[in-house]
Amino acid sequence: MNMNMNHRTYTEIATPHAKRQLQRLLDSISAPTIYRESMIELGKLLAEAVLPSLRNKSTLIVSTAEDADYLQFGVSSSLKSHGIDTKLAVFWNHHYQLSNSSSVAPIVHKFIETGYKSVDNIIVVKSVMSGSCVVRTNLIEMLDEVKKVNNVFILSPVAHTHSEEKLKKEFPEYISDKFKFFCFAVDDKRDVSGEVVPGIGGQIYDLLGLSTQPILNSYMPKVVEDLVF
Amino acid sequence: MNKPDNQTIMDFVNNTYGEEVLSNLKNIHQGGTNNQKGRDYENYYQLYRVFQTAANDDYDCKKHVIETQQIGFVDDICHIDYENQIKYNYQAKNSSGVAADWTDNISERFRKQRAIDASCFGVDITKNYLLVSDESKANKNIGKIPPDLKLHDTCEYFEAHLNTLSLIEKTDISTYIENLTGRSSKTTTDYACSLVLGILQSGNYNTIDDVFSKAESEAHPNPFIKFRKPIENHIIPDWVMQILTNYSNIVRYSLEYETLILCVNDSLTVECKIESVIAIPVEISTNTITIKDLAFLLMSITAQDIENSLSSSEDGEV
Repeated sequence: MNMNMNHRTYTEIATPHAKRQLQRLLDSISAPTIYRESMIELGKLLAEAVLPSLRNKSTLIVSTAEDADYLQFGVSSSLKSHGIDTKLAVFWNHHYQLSNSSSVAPIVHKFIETGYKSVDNIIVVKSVMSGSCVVRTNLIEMLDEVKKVNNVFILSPVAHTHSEEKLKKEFPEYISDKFKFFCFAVDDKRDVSGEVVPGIGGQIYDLLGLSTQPILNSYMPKVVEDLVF
Repeated sequence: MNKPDNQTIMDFVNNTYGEEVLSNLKNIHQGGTNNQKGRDYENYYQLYRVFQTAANDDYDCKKHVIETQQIGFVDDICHIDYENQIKYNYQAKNSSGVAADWTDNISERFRKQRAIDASCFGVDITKNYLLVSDESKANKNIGKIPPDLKLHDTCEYFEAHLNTLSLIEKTDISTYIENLTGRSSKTTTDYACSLVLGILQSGNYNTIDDVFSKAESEAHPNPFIKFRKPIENHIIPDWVMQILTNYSNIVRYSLEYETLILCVNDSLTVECKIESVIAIPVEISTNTITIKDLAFLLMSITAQDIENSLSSSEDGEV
Protein backbone atom coordinates (compact mmCIF):
# COMPACT_ATOMS: atom_id res chain seq x y z
CA MET A 1 0.00 0.00 0.00
CA ASN A 2 1.16 3.53 -0.57
CA MET A 3 -0.09 6.80 0.85
CA ASN A 4 -0.41 9.80 -1.39
CA MET A 5 -3.43 11.73 -0.21
CA ASN A 6 -4.33 13.04 3.22
CA HIS A 7 -5.66 10.13 5.31
CA ARG A 8 -5.90 7.92 2.24
CA THR A 9 -4.05 4.71 1.50
CA TYR A 10 -4.20 3.11 -1.91
CA THR A 11 -4.30 -0.66 -2.11
CA GLU A 12 -2.22 -2.89 -4.36
CA ILE A 13 -5.03 -3.23 -6.89
CA ALA A 14 -5.32 0.54 -7.33
CA THR A 15 -4.03 1.04 -10.86
CA PRO A 16 -3.30 4.56 -12.12
CA HIS A 17 -6.58 4.39 -14.01
CA ALA A 18 -8.47 3.46 -10.82
CA LYS A 19 -6.82 6.34 -8.95
CA ARG A 20 -7.82 8.73 -11.72
CA GLN A 21 -11.42 7.51 -11.49
CA LEU A 22 -11.43 7.98 -7.71
CA GLN A 23 -10.21 11.53 -8.22
CA ARG A 24 -12.83 12.02 -10.91
CA LEU A 25 -15.50 11.17 -8.33
CA LEU A 26 -14.21 13.88 -6.05
CA ASP A 27 -14.07 16.33 -8.95
CA SER A 28 -17.64 15.59 -10.00
CA ILE A 29 -19.64 16.14 -6.85
CA SER A 30 -21.92 18.55 -8.70
CA ALA A 31 -21.97 16.62 -11.96
CA PRO A 32 -24.08 13.48 -11.53
CA THR A 33 -23.68 12.32 -15.12
CA ILE A 34 -19.88 12.28 -14.90
CA TYR A 35 -20.08 10.84 -11.40
CA ARG A 36 -22.25 7.97 -12.64
CA GLU A 37 -19.80 7.26 -15.46
CA SER A 38 -16.93 7.06 -13.00
CA MET A 39 -18.85 4.70 -10.74
CA ILE A 40 -19.54 2.42 -13.71
CA GLU A 41 -15.86 2.55 -14.65
CA LEU A 42 -14.78 1.79 -11.09
CA GLY A 43 -17.18 -1.16 -11.11
CA LYS A 44 -15.51 -2.50 -14.24
CA LEU A 45 -12.08 -2.08 -12.67
CA LEU A 46 -13.14 -3.84 -9.48
CA ALA A 47 -14.55 -6.66 -11.60
CA GLU A 48 -11.20 -7.02 -13.37
CA ALA A 49 -9.49 -7.28 -9.99
CA VAL A 50 -11.84 -9.93 -8.59
CA LEU A 51 -12.19 -11.92 -11.82
CA PRO A 52 -9.38 -14.48 -11.21
CA SER A 53 -10.79 -15.29 -7.76
CA LEU A 54 -14.19 -16.20 -9.21
CA ARG A 55 -12.69 -19.17 -11.11
CA ASN A 56 -15.36 -18.88 -13.80
CA LYS A 57 -18.01 -19.95 -11.28
CA SER A 58 -21.57 -18.60 -11.19
CA THR A 59 -21.85 -15.45 -9.14
CA LEU A 60 -24.67 -13.55 -7.46
CA ILE A 61 -24.13 -9.80 -7.39
CA VAL A 62 -25.80 -8.10 -4.43
CA SER A 63 -26.42 -4.38 -4.65
CA THR A 64 -28.37 -1.57 -3.09
CA ALA A 65 -30.94 0.13 -5.32
CA GLU A 66 -28.78 3.26 -5.56
CA ASP A 67 -25.71 1.37 -6.75
CA ALA A 68 -27.55 -0.96 -9.12
CA ASP A 69 -27.31 1.11 -12.32
CA TYR A 70 -23.80 2.38 -11.68
CA LEU A 71 -21.19 0.52 -9.63
CA GLN A 72 -23.13 -2.73 -9.93
CA PHE A 73 -23.69 -2.25 -13.64
CA GLY A 74 -19.97 -1.76 -14.15
CA VAL A 75 -19.17 -4.94 -12.23
CA SER A 76 -21.79 -7.13 -13.88
CA SER A 77 -21.18 -5.91 -17.43
CA SER A 78 -17.46 -6.62 -17.06
CA LEU A 79 -18.01 -10.07 -15.56
CA LYS A 80 -20.53 -10.95 -18.26
CA SER A 81 -18.07 -9.90 -20.93
CA HIS A 82 -15.65 -12.42 -19.43
CA GLY A 83 -18.26 -15.16 -19.61
CA ILE A 84 -19.17 -15.29 -15.91
CA ASP A 85 -22.73 -16.43 -15.27
CA THR A 86 -24.15 -13.72 -12.99
CA LYS A 87 -27.41 -13.24 -11.15
CA LEU A 88 -28.55 -10.01 -9.56
CA ALA A 89 -30.06 -9.13 -6.19
CA VAL A 90 -31.08 -5.55 -5.42
CA PHE A 91 -32.36 -4.28 -2.09
CA TRP A 92 -34.24 -1.15 -1.13
CA ASN A 93 -32.98 -0.58 2.40
CA HIS A 94 -34.18 2.11 4.73
CA HIS A 95 -30.90 3.18 6.27
CA TYR A 96 -31.33 5.29 9.38
CA GLN A 97 -30.10 5.80 12.91
CA LEU A 98 -31.87 4.75 16.08
CA SER A 99 -31.93 7.05 19.10
CA ASN A 100 -28.95 5.18 20.58
CA SER A 101 -26.98 6.15 17.42
CA SER A 102 -26.77 2.61 16.07
CA SER A 103 -27.60 2.22 12.39
CA VAL A 104 -30.22 -0.08 10.94
CA ALA A 105 -31.06 -0.82 7.32
CA PRO A 106 -34.24 -2.90 7.11
CA ILE A 107 -35.06 -4.26 3.66
CA VAL A 108 -38.41 -3.00 2.41
CA HIS A 109 -38.49 -4.10 -1.24
CA LYS A 110 -36.21 -6.50 -3.05
CA PHE A 111 -35.38 -7.93 -6.43
CA ILE A 112 -33.69 -11.32 -6.65
CA GLU A 113 -33.17 -12.78 -10.10
CA THR A 114 -34.38 -16.34 -10.45
CA GLY A 115 -31.75 -19.05 -10.51
CA TYR A 116 -29.67 -17.52 -7.73
CA LYS A 117 -29.83 -20.41 -5.28
CA SER A 118 -27.11 -22.48 -6.89
CA VAL A 119 -24.39 -19.83 -7.24
CA ASP A 120 -20.87 -20.49 -5.96
CA ASN A 121 -19.86 -16.91 -5.27
CA ILE A 122 -21.51 -13.83 -3.87
CA ILE A 123 -20.24 -10.37 -4.75
CA VAL A 124 -21.53 -7.49 -2.67
CA VAL A 125 -21.01 -4.11 -4.27
CA LYS A 126 -21.16 -0.89 -2.29
CA SER A 127 -20.10 2.56 -3.39
CA VAL A 128 -18.36 3.15 -0.06
CA MET A 129 -17.75 0.77 2.85
CA SER A 130 -18.29 2.85 5.93
CA GLY A 131 -20.23 1.49 8.90
CA SER A 132 -21.05 -1.74 7.02
CA CYS A 133 -24.66 -1.72 8.25
CA VAL A 134 -26.25 -1.98 4.79
CA VAL A 135 -23.77 -4.59 3.54
CA ARG A 136 -24.33 -6.59 6.71
CA THR A 137 -28.14 -6.58 6.34
CA ASN A 138 -28.10 -7.52 2.67
CA LEU A 139 -25.58 -10.26 3.27
CA ILE A 140 -27.66 -11.72 6.08
CA GLU A 141 -30.64 -11.79 3.72
CA MET A 142 -28.75 -13.52 0.91
CA LEU A 143 -26.74 -15.93 3.05
CA ASP A 144 -30.04 -17.12 4.47
CA GLU A 145 -31.06 -18.04 0.93
CA VAL A 146 -27.76 -19.19 -0.61
CA LYS A 147 -26.34 -21.45 2.04
CA LYS A 148 -23.74 -23.30 0.00
CA VAL A 149 -21.83 -20.30 -1.25
CA ASN A 150 -18.05 -20.71 -1.06
CA ASN A 151 -16.82 -17.13 -1.35
CA VAL A 152 -18.18 -13.72 -0.44
CA PHE A 153 -16.41 -10.85 -2.20
CA ILE A 154 -17.04 -7.33 -1.00
CA LEU A 155 -16.25 -4.78 -3.70
CA SER A 156 -16.09 -1.09 -3.00
CA PRO A 157 -14.04 1.72 -4.56
CA VAL A 158 -13.32 3.18 -1.11
CA ALA A 159 -13.47 1.74 2.39
CA HIS A 160 -13.03 3.17 5.85
CA THR A 161 -10.07 1.75 7.79
CA HIS A 162 -12.23 -0.16 10.26
CA SER A 163 -15.04 -1.27 7.97
CA GLU A 164 -13.55 -4.69 7.15
CA GLU A 165 -12.90 -5.56 10.77
CA LYS A 166 -16.32 -4.21 11.78
CA LEU A 167 -18.18 -6.28 9.20
CA LYS A 168 -16.30 -9.45 10.13
CA LYS A 169 -17.13 -9.00 13.81
CA GLU A 170 -20.82 -8.98 12.99
CA PHE A 171 -20.78 -12.51 11.60
CA PRO A 172 -19.86 -15.91 13.04
CA GLU A 173 -16.41 -17.02 11.92
CA TYR A 174 -17.70 -19.77 9.66
CA ILE A 175 -19.22 -16.98 7.54
CA SER A 176 -16.65 -14.19 7.95
CA ASP A 177 -13.90 -16.60 6.92
CA LYS A 178 -15.44 -16.49 3.43
CA PHE A 179 -15.13 -12.71 3.15
CA LYS A 180 -12.61 -11.21 0.74
CA PHE A 181 -12.41 -7.45 0.40
CA PHE A 182 -11.52 -5.56 -2.76
CA CYS A 183 -11.15 -1.80 -2.71
CA PHE A 184 -8.85 0.77 -4.29
CA ALA A 185 -8.47 3.16 -1.37
CA VAL A 186 -8.74 3.06 2.38
CA ASP A 187 -9.57 6.29 4.22
CA ASP A 188 -9.13 6.70 7.94
CA LYS A 189 -11.05 9.91 8.50
CA ARG A 190 -14.71 10.79 8.90
CA ASP A 191 -16.38 14.18 8.93
CA VAL A 192 -18.76 15.33 11.68
CA SER A 193 -21.70 13.63 10.00
CA GLY A 194 -19.82 10.34 9.88
CA GLU A 195 -19.09 10.39 6.14
CA VAL A 196 -15.76 8.87 5.12
CA VAL A 197 -13.44 11.61 3.80
CA PRO A 198 -12.35 12.09 1.15
CA GLY A 199 -14.23 8.86 0.45
CA ILE A 200 -16.45 9.19 -2.58
CA GLY A 201 -17.10 12.88 -2.03
CA GLY A 202 -20.18 12.75 0.20
CA GLN A 203 -23.53 10.98 0.30
CA ILE A 204 -24.02 8.71 -2.68
CA TYR A 205 -27.68 9.66 -3.21
CA ASP A 206 -26.96 13.31 -3.91
CA LEU A 207 -23.83 12.56 -5.91
CA LEU A 208 -25.68 10.23 -8.27
CA GLY A 209 -28.48 12.76 -8.61
CA LEU A 210 -31.02 10.61 -6.79
CA SER A 211 -31.67 13.26 -4.08
CA THR A 212 -32.49 10.74 -1.35
CA GLN A 213 -32.52 7.04 -0.51
CA PRO A 214 -34.31 4.97 -3.20
CA ILE A 215 -36.76 3.68 -0.60
CA LEU A 216 -37.87 7.25 0.08
CA ASN A 217 -38.41 8.30 -3.51
CA SER A 218 -39.44 4.90 -4.93
CA TYR A 219 -36.52 4.95 -7.32
CA MET A 220 -36.47 1.96 -9.67
CA PRO A 221 -33.06 1.09 -11.16
CA LYS A 222 -33.17 0.53 -14.90
CA VAL A 223 -31.41 -2.85 -14.61
CA VAL A 224 -34.23 -4.11 -12.41
CA GLU A 225 -36.98 -2.59 -14.53
CA ASP A 226 -35.54 -4.25 -17.64
CA LEU A 227 -35.35 -7.65 -15.94
CA VAL A 228 -38.84 -7.57 -14.38
CA PHE A 229 -41.18 -5.82 -16.81
CA MET B 1 -46.01 -6.52 44.47
CA ASN B 2 -44.35 -3.14 44.89
CA LYS B 3 -41.25 -1.77 43.26
CA PRO B 4 -39.25 -0.23 46.11
CA ASP B 5 -36.68 2.48 45.65
CA ASN B 6 -33.01 1.80 46.37
CA GLN B 7 -33.14 3.46 49.79
CA THR B 8 -35.92 1.13 50.96
CA ILE B 9 -33.79 -1.87 49.98
CA MET B 10 -30.69 -0.45 51.67
CA ASP B 11 -32.65 0.35 54.84
CA PHE B 12 -33.94 -3.20 54.93
CA VAL B 13 -30.44 -4.64 54.51
CA ASN B 14 -29.02 -2.35 57.16
CA ASN B 15 -31.77 -3.17 59.66
CA THR B 16 -31.71 -6.90 58.96
CA TYR B 17 -28.04 -7.70 58.40
CA GLY B 18 -26.14 -4.68 59.70
CA GLU B 19 -23.74 -2.10 58.31
CA GLU B 20 -21.10 -4.53 57.06
CA VAL B 21 -23.54 -6.35 54.80
CA LEU B 22 -24.98 -3.04 53.62
CA SER B 23 -21.47 -1.96 52.69
CA ASN B 24 -21.04 -5.24 50.80
CA LEU B 25 -24.33 -4.61 48.96
CA LYS B 26 -23.19 -1.14 47.93
CA ASN B 27 -19.90 -2.54 46.66
CA ILE B 28 -21.74 -5.16 44.61
CA HIS B 29 -23.94 -2.47 43.09
CA GLN B 30 -21.10 -0.07 42.35
CA GLY B 31 -19.00 -2.82 40.84
CA GLY B 32 -21.73 -3.75 38.39
CA THR B 33 -20.36 -5.19 35.24
CA ASN B 34 -17.07 -3.49 34.73
CA ASN B 35 -15.99 -5.10 31.50
CA GLN B 36 -17.36 -5.17 27.97
CA LYS B 37 -17.39 -8.97 27.81
CA GLY B 38 -19.62 -9.16 30.87
CA ARG B 39 -21.87 -6.33 29.68
CA ASP B 40 -22.39 -7.94 26.27
CA TYR B 41 -23.25 -11.22 27.96
CA GLU B 42 -25.87 -9.57 30.19
CA ASN B 43 -27.25 -7.46 27.32
CA TYR B 44 -27.78 -10.47 25.08
CA TYR B 45 -29.43 -12.45 27.88
CA GLN B 46 -31.69 -9.54 28.73
CA LEU B 47 -32.59 -9.20 25.04
CA TYR B 48 -33.33 -12.93 24.84
CA ARG B 49 -35.44 -12.84 27.99
CA VAL B 50 -37.40 -9.78 26.82
CA PHE B 51 -38.38 -11.48 23.54
CA GLN B 52 -39.14 -14.75 25.34
CA THR B 53 -41.46 -12.92 27.72
CA ALA B 54 -43.07 -10.71 25.07
CA ALA B 55 -43.85 -13.72 22.88
CA ASN B 56 -45.61 -15.53 25.71
CA ASP B 57 -49.31 -15.08 24.96
CA ASP B 58 -50.22 -15.95 28.55
CA TYR B 59 -48.43 -12.85 29.82
CA ASP B 60 -49.77 -9.34 30.10
CA CYS B 61 -46.67 -7.39 29.06
CA LYS B 62 -47.82 -4.36 31.01
CA LYS B 63 -47.19 -6.37 34.16
CA HIS B 64 -43.65 -7.53 33.43
CA VAL B 65 -40.41 -5.62 33.94
CA ILE B 66 -36.97 -6.85 32.90
CA GLU B 67 -34.08 -4.65 33.91
CA THR B 68 -30.39 -4.71 34.69
CA GLN B 69 -28.26 -3.57 37.59
CA GLN B 70 -30.98 -2.97 40.13
CA ILE B 71 -29.53 -2.76 43.61
CA GLY B 72 -29.46 -6.20 45.21
CA PHE B 73 -27.34 -9.22 45.98
CA VAL B 74 -28.37 -10.87 42.71
CA ASP B 75 -28.40 -7.82 40.57
CA ASP B 76 -27.27 -8.39 36.96
CA ILE B 77 -30.71 -8.96 35.42
CA CYS B 78 -34.06 -9.15 37.11
CA HIS B 79 -37.45 -10.01 35.71
CA ILE B 80 -40.34 -8.88 37.87
CA ASP B 81 -43.56 -10.70 37.02
CA TYR B 82 -46.21 -8.58 38.69
CA GLU B 83 -48.87 -10.77 37.16
CA ASN B 84 -47.88 -13.90 39.04
CA GLN B 85 -45.97 -12.29 41.92
CA ILE B 86 -42.67 -13.89 40.95
CA LYS B 87 -39.26 -12.22 40.82
CA TYR B 88 -36.50 -13.83 38.75
CA ASN B 89 -32.96 -12.70 39.53
CA TYR B 90 -29.87 -13.50 37.49
CA GLN B 91 -26.23 -13.31 38.42
CA ALA B 92 -24.35 -13.54 35.14
CA LYS B 93 -20.83 -14.98 34.82
CA ASN B 94 -19.33 -15.05 31.36
CA SER B 95 -16.54 -17.33 32.48
CA SER B 96 -15.51 -20.95 32.55
CA GLY B 97 -13.15 -20.35 35.48
CA VAL B 98 -13.64 -20.17 39.22
CA ALA B 99 -15.52 -16.89 38.86
CA ALA B 100 -18.46 -18.96 37.58
CA ASP B 101 -18.37 -21.48 40.45
CA TRP B 102 -21.33 -21.89 42.74
CA THR B 103 -19.84 -20.91 46.10
CA ASP B 104 -21.07 -20.39 49.64
CA ASN B 105 -20.98 -16.68 48.86
CA ILE B 106 -23.40 -17.19 45.96
CA SER B 107 -25.71 -19.23 48.20
CA GLU B 108 -25.68 -16.52 50.84
CA ARG B 109 -26.36 -13.79 48.30
CA PHE B 110 -29.30 -15.77 46.92
CA ARG B 111 -30.74 -16.17 50.45
CA LYS B 112 -30.40 -12.48 51.19
CA GLN B 113 -31.93 -11.53 47.83
CA ARG B 114 -34.93 -13.72 48.62
CA ALA B 115 -35.34 -11.91 51.92
CA ILE B 116 -35.17 -8.51 50.17
CA ASP B 117 -37.71 -9.60 47.57
CA ALA B 118 -40.15 -10.90 50.19
CA SER B 119 -39.84 -7.86 52.42
CA CYS B 120 -39.33 -4.96 50.01
CA PHE B 121 -41.01 -6.23 46.82
CA GLY B 122 -43.65 -8.32 48.58
CA VAL B 123 -43.26 -11.18 46.11
CA ASP B 124 -44.60 -14.65 46.76
CA ILE B 125 -41.74 -16.40 45.00
CA THR B 126 -38.12 -15.50 44.25
CA LYS B 127 -36.21 -17.53 41.70
CA ASN B 128 -32.47 -16.94 41.59
CA TYR B 129 -30.24 -18.04 38.74
CA LEU B 130 -26.51 -18.25 38.39
CA LEU B 131 -26.14 -17.73 34.65
CA VAL B 132 -22.91 -19.13 33.24
CA SER B 133 -21.44 -19.34 29.74
CA ASP B 134 -19.86 -22.77 30.21
CA GLU B 135 -22.24 -25.72 29.91
CA SER B 136 -20.11 -28.18 31.89
CA LYS B 137 -19.67 -25.57 34.61
CA ALA B 138 -23.44 -25.17 34.77
CA ASN B 139 -23.90 -28.93 35.22
CA LYS B 140 -21.26 -29.05 37.97
CA ASN B 141 -22.79 -26.06 39.71
CA ILE B 142 -26.21 -27.67 39.83
CA GLY B 143 -24.66 -30.41 41.98
CA LYS B 144 -23.42 -27.79 44.46
CA ILE B 145 -26.76 -26.12 45.20
CA PRO B 146 -27.57 -26.41 48.94
CA PRO B 147 -30.80 -28.25 49.81
CA ASP B 148 -32.55 -25.14 51.12
CA LEU B 149 -32.12 -23.39 47.74
CA LYS B 150 -32.88 -26.28 45.41
CA LEU B 151 -36.61 -25.61 45.12
CA HIS B 152 -36.35 -22.21 43.43
CA ASP B 153 -32.68 -21.49 42.67
CA THR B 154 -30.49 -23.02 40.01
CA CYS B 155 -27.59 -22.58 37.63
CA GLU B 156 -28.44 -22.04 33.98
CA TYR B 157 -26.30 -22.22 30.88
CA PHE B 158 -26.47 -19.39 28.36
CA GLU B 159 -23.82 -19.23 25.69
CA ALA B 160 -21.80 -16.03 25.34
CA HIS B 161 -22.56 -14.59 21.91
CA LEU B 162 -20.10 -12.37 20.10
CA ASN B 163 -22.75 -10.83 17.87
CA THR B 164 -26.49 -10.69 17.32
CA LEU B 165 -26.32 -13.15 14.45
CA SER B 166 -24.82 -15.76 16.76
CA LEU B 167 -27.67 -15.18 19.24
CA ILE B 168 -30.17 -15.62 16.41
CA GLU B 169 -28.56 -18.78 15.03
CA LYS B 170 -27.81 -20.57 18.28
CA THR B 171 -30.86 -19.86 20.42
CA ASP B 172 -34.60 -20.03 19.87
CA ILE B 173 -34.96 -16.23 19.97
CA SER B 174 -36.05 -16.23 16.32
CA THR B 175 -39.07 -18.34 17.27
CA TYR B 176 -40.14 -15.72 19.79
CA ILE B 177 -39.50 -12.88 17.34
CA GLU B 178 -41.49 -14.64 14.63
CA ASN B 179 -44.39 -14.72 17.05
CA LEU B 180 -44.11 -10.94 17.38
CA THR B 181 -43.44 -10.04 13.74
CA GLY B 182 -45.21 -12.80 11.82
CA ARG B 183 -42.10 -13.24 9.73
CA SER B 184 -39.30 -15.76 9.79
CA SER B 185 -36.67 -13.96 7.71
CA LYS B 186 -33.34 -13.52 9.43
CA THR B 187 -33.13 -9.85 8.48
CA THR B 188 -36.48 -9.14 10.15
CA THR B 189 -35.29 -11.01 13.24
CA ASP B 190 -32.06 -9.03 13.23
CA TYR B 191 -33.90 -5.72 12.75
CA ALA B 192 -36.24 -6.54 15.65
CA CYS B 193 -33.20 -7.30 17.83
CA SER B 194 -31.55 -3.98 16.93
CA LEU B 195 -34.71 -2.03 17.74
CA VAL B 196 -35.25 -3.65 21.13
CA LEU B 197 -31.57 -3.69 22.06
CA GLY B 198 -31.44 0.05 21.38
CA ILE B 199 -34.30 0.67 23.82
CA LEU B 200 -32.84 -1.62 26.49
CA GLN B 201 -29.44 0.06 26.27
CA SER B 202 -31.03 3.49 26.64
CA GLY B 203 -32.35 2.40 30.05
CA ASN B 204 -35.37 4.57 29.35
CA TYR B 205 -38.21 2.08 29.71
CA ASN B 206 -40.42 0.52 32.29
CA THR B 207 -42.50 -2.55 31.41
CA ILE B 208 -42.07 -4.98 28.49
CA ASP B 209 -45.06 -3.30 26.88
CA ASP B 210 -43.23 -0.01 27.22
CA VAL B 211 -40.06 -1.45 25.62
CA PHE B 212 -42.02 -2.49 22.54
CA SER B 213 -44.01 0.71 22.40
CA LYS B 214 -40.74 2.66 22.27
CA ALA B 215 -39.17 0.20 19.80
CA GLU B 216 -42.18 0.59 17.51
CA SER B 217 -41.88 4.37 17.62
CA GLU B 218 -38.30 4.03 16.31
CA ALA B 219 -39.20 1.46 13.68
CA HIS B 220 -39.54 2.60 10.04
CA PRO B 221 -41.01 0.28 8.92
CA ASN B 222 -42.50 -1.28 12.04
CA PRO B 223 -41.89 -5.06 12.04
CA PHE B 224 -43.95 -5.81 15.14
CA ILE B 225 -47.54 -6.96 14.83
CA LYS B 226 -48.39 -8.29 18.26
CA PHE B 227 -48.83 -4.98 20.01
CA ARG B 228 -50.68 -3.17 17.23
CA LYS B 229 -54.29 -2.21 17.41
CA PRO B 230 -56.18 -4.21 14.77
CA ILE B 231 -57.44 -2.17 11.85
CA GLU B 232 -61.00 -2.68 10.71
CA ASN B 233 -60.68 -3.44 7.03
CA HIS B 234 -58.17 -5.87 5.60
CA ILE B 235 -59.80 -6.35 2.22
CA ILE B 236 -57.75 -5.74 -0.92
CA PRO B 237 -59.60 -3.09 -2.99
CA ASP B 238 -61.43 -4.33 -6.09
CA TRP B 239 -59.35 -2.25 -8.51
CA VAL B 240 -56.16 -3.85 -7.14
CA MET B 241 -57.69 -7.33 -7.32
CA GLN B 242 -58.61 -6.65 -10.94
CA ILE B 243 -54.98 -5.93 -11.84
CA LEU B 244 -53.75 -8.92 -9.86
CA THR B 245 -56.23 -11.13 -11.68
CA ASN B 246 -55.27 -9.72 -15.08
CA TYR B 247 -51.62 -10.52 -14.39
CA SER B 248 -52.13 -13.73 -12.44
CA ASN B 249 -49.62 -15.51 -14.68
CA ILE B 250 -46.75 -13.34 -13.48
CA VAL B 251 -47.75 -12.08 -10.07
CA ARG B 252 -48.17 -13.69 -6.66
CA TYR B 253 -49.61 -11.74 -3.78
CA SER B 254 -50.35 -12.14 -0.12
CA LEU B 255 -51.88 -10.10 2.63
CA GLU B 256 -49.78 -10.60 5.74
CA TYR B 257 -51.36 -8.86 8.70
CA GLU B 258 -51.41 -5.23 7.59
CA THR B 259 -49.10 -5.57 4.60
CA LEU B 260 -49.88 -6.31 0.97
CA ILE B 261 -46.95 -8.13 -0.63
CA LEU B 262 -46.60 -8.49 -4.39
CA CYS B 263 -44.05 -10.69 -6.09
CA VAL B 264 -43.73 -10.03 -9.81
CA ASN B 265 -42.11 -12.59 -12.09
CA ASP B 266 -40.79 -14.47 -9.05
CA SER B 267 -38.18 -11.78 -8.58
CA LEU B 268 -39.41 -8.31 -7.58
CA THR B 269 -41.10 -8.15 -4.18
CA VAL B 270 -42.74 -4.91 -3.10
CA GLU B 271 -44.62 -4.19 0.07
CA CYS B 272 -47.23 -1.66 1.08
CA LYS B 273 -49.48 -1.21 4.09
CA ILE B 274 -52.98 -2.31 3.13
CA GLU B 275 -54.40 0.66 5.02
CA SER B 276 -52.53 2.96 2.63
CA VAL B 277 -53.63 0.96 -0.43
CA ILE B 278 -57.23 1.30 0.66
CA ALA B 279 -56.73 5.06 1.00
CA ILE B 280 -55.48 5.53 -2.58
CA PRO B 281 -57.80 8.10 -4.21
CA VAL B 282 -59.92 7.17 -7.22
CA GLU B 283 -58.13 9.59 -9.55
CA ILE B 284 -54.91 7.65 -8.98
CA SER B 285 -56.40 4.16 -9.00
CA THR B 286 -58.18 4.74 -12.30
CA ASN B 287 -54.86 5.56 -13.92
CA THR B 288 -53.21 2.42 -12.55
CA ILE B 289 -53.66 -0.18 -15.24
CA THR B 290 -50.71 -2.54 -15.50
CA ILE B 291 -48.82 -4.59 -12.94
CA LYS B 292 -45.89 -2.27 -13.50
CA ASP B 293 -48.11 0.73 -12.70
CA LEU B 294 -49.29 -1.02 -9.55
CA ALA B 295 -45.79 -2.03 -8.37
CA PHE B 296 -44.50 1.51 -8.89
CA LEU B 297 -47.54 2.97 -7.14
CA LEU B 298 -47.13 0.71 -4.11
CA MET B 299 -43.46 1.65 -3.88
CA SER B 300 -44.32 5.34 -3.90
CA ILE B 301 -47.05 4.87 -1.28
CA THR B 302 -44.59 2.98 0.94
CA ALA B 303 -42.06 5.78 0.48
CA GLN B 304 -44.69 8.25 1.66
CA ASP B 305 -45.62 6.04 4.61
CA ILE B 306 -41.99 5.86 5.76
CA GLU B 307 -41.55 9.61 5.33
CA ASN B 308 -44.70 10.18 7.37
CA SER B 309 -43.55 7.87 10.18
CA LEU B 310 -40.13 9.53 10.16
CA SER B 311 -41.61 12.99 10.42
CA SER B 312 -43.44 11.93 13.56
CA SER B 313 -40.25 10.70 15.21
CA GLU B 314 -36.83 12.09 15.92
CA ASP B 315 -34.75 9.41 14.21
CA GLY B 316 -32.17 10.56 11.70
CA GLU B 317 -31.57 9.57 8.15
CA VAL B 318 -28.08 8.33 7.41
